[in-house]
Amino acid sequence: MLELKLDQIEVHFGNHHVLKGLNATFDAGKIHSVIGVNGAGKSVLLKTIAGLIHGSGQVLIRDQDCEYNMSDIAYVPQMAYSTSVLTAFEMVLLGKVKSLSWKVSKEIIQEVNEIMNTLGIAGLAGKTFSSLSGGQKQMVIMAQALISKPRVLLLDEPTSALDLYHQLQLLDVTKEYCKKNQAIALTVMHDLSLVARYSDSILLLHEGKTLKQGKPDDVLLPDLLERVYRVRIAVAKLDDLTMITPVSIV
Amino acid sequence: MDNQENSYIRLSRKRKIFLLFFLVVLVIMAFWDIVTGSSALTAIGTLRILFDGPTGETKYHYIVWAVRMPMTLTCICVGASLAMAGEQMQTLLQNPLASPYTLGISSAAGFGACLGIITGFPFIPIAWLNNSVSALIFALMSSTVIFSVSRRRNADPKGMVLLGIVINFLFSALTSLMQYLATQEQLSEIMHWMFGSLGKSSWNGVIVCSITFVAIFLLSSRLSWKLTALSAGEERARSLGIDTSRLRRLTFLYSSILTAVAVSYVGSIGFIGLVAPHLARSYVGEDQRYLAPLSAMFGIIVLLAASVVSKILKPGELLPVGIITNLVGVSFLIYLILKKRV
Repeated sequence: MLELKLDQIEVHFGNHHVLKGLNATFDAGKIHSVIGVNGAGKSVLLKTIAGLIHGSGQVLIRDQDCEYNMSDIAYVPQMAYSTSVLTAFEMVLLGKVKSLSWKVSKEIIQEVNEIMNTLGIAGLAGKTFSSLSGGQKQMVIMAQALISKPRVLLLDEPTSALDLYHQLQLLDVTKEYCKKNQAIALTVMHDLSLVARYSDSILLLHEGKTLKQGKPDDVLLPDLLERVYRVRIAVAKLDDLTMITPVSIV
Repeated sequence: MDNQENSYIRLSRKRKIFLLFFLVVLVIMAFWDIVTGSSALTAIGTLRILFDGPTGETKYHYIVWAVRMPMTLTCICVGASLAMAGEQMQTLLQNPLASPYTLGISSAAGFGACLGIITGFPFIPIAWLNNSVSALIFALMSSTVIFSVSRRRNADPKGMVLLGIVINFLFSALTSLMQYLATQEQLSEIMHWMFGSLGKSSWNGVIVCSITFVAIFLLSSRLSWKLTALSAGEERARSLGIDTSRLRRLTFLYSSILTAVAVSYVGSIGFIGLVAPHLARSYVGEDQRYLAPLSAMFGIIVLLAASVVSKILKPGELLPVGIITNLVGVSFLIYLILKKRV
């Protein structure tokens, strides 16, 4: 079974140690969320796994060194800045960059159409990427990531620029993708209610180390969250949903 | 779904039509350039001479085949080389103002030519070849320095541009020194070289420059999709699994060779590498499969137009074409600034 294993991951920028010997394992077919305060090292962790930041330690997928399996990973950044005049369709098409030849086959065009339809962004196909709103850009980059058929999907605050409808749509598509393809999704999110709703497991990162990893009910505990976030937290159950709301600063 | 499919296929078809249209414009411009000159040759007469081939014995055959054809073909291979080099520089440095001049390769070639004119370096007995080889040596030398340093810095675009500025200043200073030391006659030759002139056109030059362009074009076309991804941004390209440092170094090598060969052949012809890619981008976007050939075509068209103007402005004399391209380039740059496109 596919497994993403982080072994003693350390990252530092000069004297500032961001990740301090982080160990964690993530299994296939699930959404795993990384939570923690600003500066805890969440985005750095995702970028390190994606190979965009070099640290020490090992990132293992299928028991092979991650650095040699970059094509198995897709990374969706917090914000996709680009002044490119490429169209949204072309941006999604680039997800297939490794298999594209001079002539783009009809099958690949069809594939791009399908993924854009699934994410509800078919209408953006002919628009220039740089002219899109932040949320639309995020959806296009998500489509680009999905079309590359990654085994590991890294999503850095994927819902930060999305409206409520698209937040749920994106996370539903991610969940379905992971189940169907036995892939691993690792997301960073600040909305703890969404984290509780969509995550199969949660990694609570604090000062560059794993403070706790487990199922949502084991990690999203008011006392633990209050200690980490320095905020009084209310947790409420509504049908099957767990609602987590910040109440006041401690 | 059909609509989307059609929109991309339609876009691709539109881009192909643009390529074809500008190819026709290019052929017309090339013919116009051959017809234009101080000899009273008509378009029909020129056509007849072209169909006769280079073996005809009249003086007009000589004018068309030995004088005008090499000049027109020089416009074609030099225009294409400088434009493609500029387009690659803009993509790899992610800077819309980049051109073959940004990284100082052209200044290095200029210094090489001055050194050749004044000292005779590298002492090749064939006069027409000597200064060009000297220019080529220094252009490649400066490229090697940038290439080696950028290797250490993972081909960071900002570092490359800064180093290019340093190299530009260094060789500009050395060129000024050479001009200070030159005799009046040498100074005149240096000025002519610095302006960039088609007067140095020759069949040998055309052959070397064309082979270089075709080889680099074919090699670059293998990188088309990766370069397209790079145009979407550094992080995006890297997260798509592209080794951007390697891609930058390779593309830099290609554009350096194109620039070095073109500049050492005809001298410093400015702005083609800046203007042509911008024009091409406005028609076909960032898809390198279309952008690279259309940039080359615009480079040729602009240089052919400048060549025609340089012949018409002062009949009987050949104005340095670099002056015309600089004037066109400055106007275009002002247009871009006013349109907030840079």
